[in-house]
Amino acid sequence: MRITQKNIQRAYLNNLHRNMKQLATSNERMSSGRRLNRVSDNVSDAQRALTVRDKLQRSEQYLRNIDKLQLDLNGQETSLMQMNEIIARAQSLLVNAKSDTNGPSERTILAKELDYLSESIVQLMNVQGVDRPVFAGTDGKTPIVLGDGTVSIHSFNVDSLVPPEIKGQFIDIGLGLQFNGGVVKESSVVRSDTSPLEILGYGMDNGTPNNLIRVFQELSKGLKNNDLSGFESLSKKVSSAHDRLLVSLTDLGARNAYLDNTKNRMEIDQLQLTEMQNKLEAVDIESELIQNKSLELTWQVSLQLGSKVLPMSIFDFIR
Amino acid sequence: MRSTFLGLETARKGLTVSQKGLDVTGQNITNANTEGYTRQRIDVVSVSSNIDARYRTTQAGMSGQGVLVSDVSQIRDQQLDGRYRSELAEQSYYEQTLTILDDLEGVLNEIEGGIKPSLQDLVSSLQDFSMNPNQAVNANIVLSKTKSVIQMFNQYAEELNGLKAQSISDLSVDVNDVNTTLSKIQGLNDSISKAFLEGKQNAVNELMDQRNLLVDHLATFGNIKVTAQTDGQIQIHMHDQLILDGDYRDQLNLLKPTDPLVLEWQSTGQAISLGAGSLKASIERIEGNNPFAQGIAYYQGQLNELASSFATVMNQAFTNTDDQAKALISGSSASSLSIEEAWLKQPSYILKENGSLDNRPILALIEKLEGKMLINEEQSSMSEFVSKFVIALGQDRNFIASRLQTSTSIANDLAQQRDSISAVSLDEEGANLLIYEKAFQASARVMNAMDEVLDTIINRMGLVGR
Repeated sequence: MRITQKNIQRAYLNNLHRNMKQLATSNERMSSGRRLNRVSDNVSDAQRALTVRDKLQRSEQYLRNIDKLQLDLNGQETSLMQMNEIIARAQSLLVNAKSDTNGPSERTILAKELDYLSESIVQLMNVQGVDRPVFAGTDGKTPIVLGDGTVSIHSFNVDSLVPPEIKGQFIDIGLGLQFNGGVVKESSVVRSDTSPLEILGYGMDNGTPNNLIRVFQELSKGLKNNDLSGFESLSKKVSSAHDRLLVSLTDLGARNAYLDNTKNRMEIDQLQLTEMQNKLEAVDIESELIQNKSLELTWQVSLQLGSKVLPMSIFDFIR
Repeated sequence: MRSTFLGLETARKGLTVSQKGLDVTGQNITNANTEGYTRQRIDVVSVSSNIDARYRTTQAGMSGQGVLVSDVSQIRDQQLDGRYRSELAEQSYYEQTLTILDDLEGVLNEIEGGIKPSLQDLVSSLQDFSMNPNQAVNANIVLSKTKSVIQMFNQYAEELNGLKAQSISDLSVDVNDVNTTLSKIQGLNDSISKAFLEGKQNAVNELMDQRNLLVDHLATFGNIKVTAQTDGQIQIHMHDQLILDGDYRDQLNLLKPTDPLVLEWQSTGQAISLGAGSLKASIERIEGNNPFAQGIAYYQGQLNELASSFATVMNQAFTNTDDQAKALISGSSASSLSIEEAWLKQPSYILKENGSLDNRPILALIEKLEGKMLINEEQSSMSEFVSKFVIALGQDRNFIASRLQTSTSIANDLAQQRDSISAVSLDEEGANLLIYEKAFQASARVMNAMDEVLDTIINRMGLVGR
């Protein structure tokens, strides 16, 4: 092949251009600190990086959700623990009241104490949280409203025979939201509220109320009148309310433990995801620096070579 | 019978030829870096003795008549020109495609910001909202995050529109370029054929270089076929359509603003079809809206589908006390999306009227935004949908980039081969310079010798006995 000046120039310029381009790409990576500046830099890595980012952002949100959820549950647990003590005191009080040694005046005093305990329960249930009542349920209002001889919880008269609709509030903690005919599946979320109605009870059995506050009211009325006819059956209702409370407390404990586990798992996942993100997106500075230096050297060498290659011809030698 | 002064004339011819050789060598050297210059060479023939002499002679009488420059020719390989030009069309097709895809990737850059992160932010704000569904402050945050998503859609749509307008204006510049190039080639054709007619073929080498350069330029726009005519003119076809022949010249017309835009030859009045070249690339990637040519229009379509799905989901999310869906977003294309007046004026529009903490509609919305649904006839989540077309764009771009690399290296090889034949080698010309200089000196020596011979004949002969 006949080699002309144009051939030499073109080959030289092409190579120089390629060297410069490689150096520029490496410079961009160094200055941005990122391996991927556009999807086309590495399509398969970019695809994974986008997925990892999604997962990472979501798990951060879920962790925030869990923290808020645990705050709510802890508030509820504190109230319920106090209520547990109150019911225990009421039970011992009732044992005391049953004794025949008590006269009408003693029973009136005991009735007053029972009234006081009942009031405490209402207060505990109506306690205000950070931004709303701790047992706000789904309507967001103070749960227990006392009327004249009536008790309503979340606008539901507890003596009513029709069972209430308990909706419950649910939080997404990344279990994969699922819906069944527009209704969220409870297995795919975690419940964040505890229903006062479920603990205190509702409805009537043979003319006696099931609701704890109503039971206390009836008991107090009986004691004041020195009439112990319904005493036994009402005392039993206190015990069953206590049982329901313990179930709720256990449930709260279980939910909390479950959240702790989920949180631990997510934090480990997050560590792995962060590491993966670094691998996919961040520049490995040491190796990039070495590569950058060698590219720079190549570029300088080609520049130096240029001053030799380009003008070289027979004219450098003939006189 | 040899004439007395034959030798002098022979030496003069030698001097003239050497001088012409030096002239052409000088021309080559001075044009070594001229774009499109083809090296020239003097074609030299020895002058034959007169074979038509009336009398037969056995003597070498008329030999030694010297030398003549018969032609100054260009050294060029027509076939190589053809191959080079067809590869040039391929190369510029990929190059133009890559330019538009690069611009597209610059617009639809989900690596830094974009729709995905703003959707994710919206979902985050909804998660916070779901934990305090009665608080106006959360509703307000949801509003501002929704605004960000919509702004992202609007921005993408606007930038894609801008890119489309820019690409169309670039295309119209190219169209003008094709038309002026054709008219220049026609002008040169004319001059060259006139020179041919007057028998001045030697005078048109430089004009032919200019014409070849223009034809190379024309080849970047489309696949052309060049046919040389006997009168020195060339005839040009572009993808089987005759566009230049003598006085006939076709013209490209870009009809705009039309949608879809139309590029047609004036002669046929029909949309042009091309096999390669930058015109084909521009049309494909501006209008392309199918899986084989995903152009600006395709990505606009994808964005609009996504925008419309987003608006639908948002508009179905919240209901009022009468179970009527609250309209939150108006518009159904990426550019037309905007927040409904009612929500814009009152951020708490999405709260339940009775201050309820029921968060099920919010959870349902989160599920819609994150879960799979039918977008543009395929099941995917919004985020996946964005990922899919961004990744597809990256793959498309890289495929074209690798094709461009191949095509460039082939075109480069052909250019090197062409230069190997047609370009100037300074070493060679330097050697020629020495050769012609020495030949000139030698011819001068011949002249001296002849002169001495004549001197002998005229001044020294017949002096005996003087």
